[in-house]
Amino acid sequence: MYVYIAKRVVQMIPVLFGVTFIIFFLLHLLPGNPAEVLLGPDATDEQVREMEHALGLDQPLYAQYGKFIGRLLRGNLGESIRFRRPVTELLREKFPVTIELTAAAMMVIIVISLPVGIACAVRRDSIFDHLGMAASIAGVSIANFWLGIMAILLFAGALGVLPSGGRISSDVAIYGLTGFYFLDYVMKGDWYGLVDAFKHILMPALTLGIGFSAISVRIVRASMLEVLAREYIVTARSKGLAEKVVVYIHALKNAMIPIITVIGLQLGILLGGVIVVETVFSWPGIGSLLITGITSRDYVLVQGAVLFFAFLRIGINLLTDLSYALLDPRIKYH
Amino acid sequence: MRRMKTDSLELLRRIVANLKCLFGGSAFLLIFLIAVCAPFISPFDPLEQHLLDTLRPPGFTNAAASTYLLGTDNLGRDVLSRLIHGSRISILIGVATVGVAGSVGVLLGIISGYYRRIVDELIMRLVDVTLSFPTILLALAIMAFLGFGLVNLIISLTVTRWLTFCRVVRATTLSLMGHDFIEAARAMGATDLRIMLREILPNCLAPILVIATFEMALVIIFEASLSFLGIGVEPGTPSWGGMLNEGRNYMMQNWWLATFPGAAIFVCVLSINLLGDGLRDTLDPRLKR
Repeated sequence: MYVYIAKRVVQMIPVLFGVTFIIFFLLHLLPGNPAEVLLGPDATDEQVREMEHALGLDQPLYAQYGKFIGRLLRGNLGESIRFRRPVTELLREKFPVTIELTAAAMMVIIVISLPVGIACAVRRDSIFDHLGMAASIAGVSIANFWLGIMAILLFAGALGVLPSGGRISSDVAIYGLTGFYFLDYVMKGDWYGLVDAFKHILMPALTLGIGFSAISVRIVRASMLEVLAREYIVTARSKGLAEKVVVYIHALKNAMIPIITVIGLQLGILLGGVIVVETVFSWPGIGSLLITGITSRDYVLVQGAVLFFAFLRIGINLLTDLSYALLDPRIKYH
Repeated sequence: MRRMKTDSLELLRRIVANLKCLFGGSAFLLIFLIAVCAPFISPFDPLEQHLLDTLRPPGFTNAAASTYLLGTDNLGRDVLSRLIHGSRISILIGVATVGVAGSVGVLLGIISGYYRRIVDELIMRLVDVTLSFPTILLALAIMAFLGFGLVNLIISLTVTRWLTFCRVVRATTLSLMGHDFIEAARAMGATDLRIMLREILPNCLAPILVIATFEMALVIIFEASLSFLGIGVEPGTPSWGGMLNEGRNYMMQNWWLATFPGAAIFVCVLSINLLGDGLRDTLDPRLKR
């Protein structure tokens, strides 16, 4: 097992380097000079040259890349031009904000896709199955930011039952223990704060989760259908076992392995969706930070945030891979 | 030749007989025609500002108060005309991106599966690296450095969407490599290029067609997302995502600004997804589940 983990980690290294390579050269080879962009259109040639020197852009590309990797290995992503603070510090601050939303969306995905997918598979070709599949194709077709806007119009505007954005109301105490508000309020026993945090996260989590649930429902259904057609299920049924036992004990247990893998991979994809949803709901996470970086032309921040998301996704995919091997004893650690 | 014609007709009959293909295809065709005829059918110039008629509600809710069927935006531009012209942007970007990304992906996929070894390793590592970035993130990063614009948008989406084509075509190529017809073509002296183009590519067309439809739906959503974030087409250009972005500050009091562009994206993407689903059922019944 340890050898397998070590092998997978080693396999990750070239991918990590590839990611840094793409980000670095994206910045340096595309048209446009960051120094000119930073200084604006009125800058003189001399000012541009000075800025290029300050940013190290006047050095050969390989030297710049070497310095970039050296800093990266020391955990230094540079200093944000907009905020005048280390990018690593900004990312560390925003990390729990984005992860809290992603985890909540993940729960939405599990709560919707597991029961619906299983029910569709068990009642294959019934009205419920057809409705479930129709809802799934509709869910995939909805742009999540539009779903978010519609939710705001309905629940915050017309009904006025949920806040339209933000992470917490201004009159609620913030403890700053872990950065995860839910955890903080539970640890402090502040139920008012917990309810407020829940009200704020509900719409963004549902918005983010519903689109991905639409994909997951199909995967759960397909996985269950495959297992339900196996011989041991036929045997279980012929032994006279109750349908619930056949579905939940025999079939679901075996169908769970690919389902968990796919849901794990969805987590990596969710990170892309979170950027848009954070913008819709003014959720102050890394996605919003990235958009601020782009609109203010803070290329150091953009570079850091993109690298962070890519590394996080690679890490999640690795963990999913390992959990797959761990869950299925038939998989040998080659 | 006659056999091929009969097979094609039979396939076409099966596609038309599939309800999802029929509904999805018809709806998409209608949107396509609207996009093509946009200058002739839109009631107003999409860029024309009627400053005395800003934020007018849709005509169907109060015909006496508004002559604009779907209302106007904060600059008095007709929402319906902008929606009609917005379909051009979505479809143009969808078709162009899928065309370019598909060509790149198919080419690299065939090369990867055909030559294997080091070529395959290199291409697959490139796929792995590109897959490490969430699509929208990589497209955002590229747009951040390239700047606004239609061509830049197509470039950024192409960079992120060639992967699926490449992986599927590579897998299909690998599965075809052991077949007798490939060996026969080689024995008859066919060059590598000829085998790839004349023997392998035709056998990859069904999955390519299915992927192309789903990818087009995804690209339209990504384009709308980027334009919504303000990093897509030039500001002011009538695009569905851009309309949602421009209407954000006014949407709480003026529901039509957010509702109609989003509904247009939904209908367009749904029609393409239905078509893709139907095509998959028809062309590869094994995947129907």
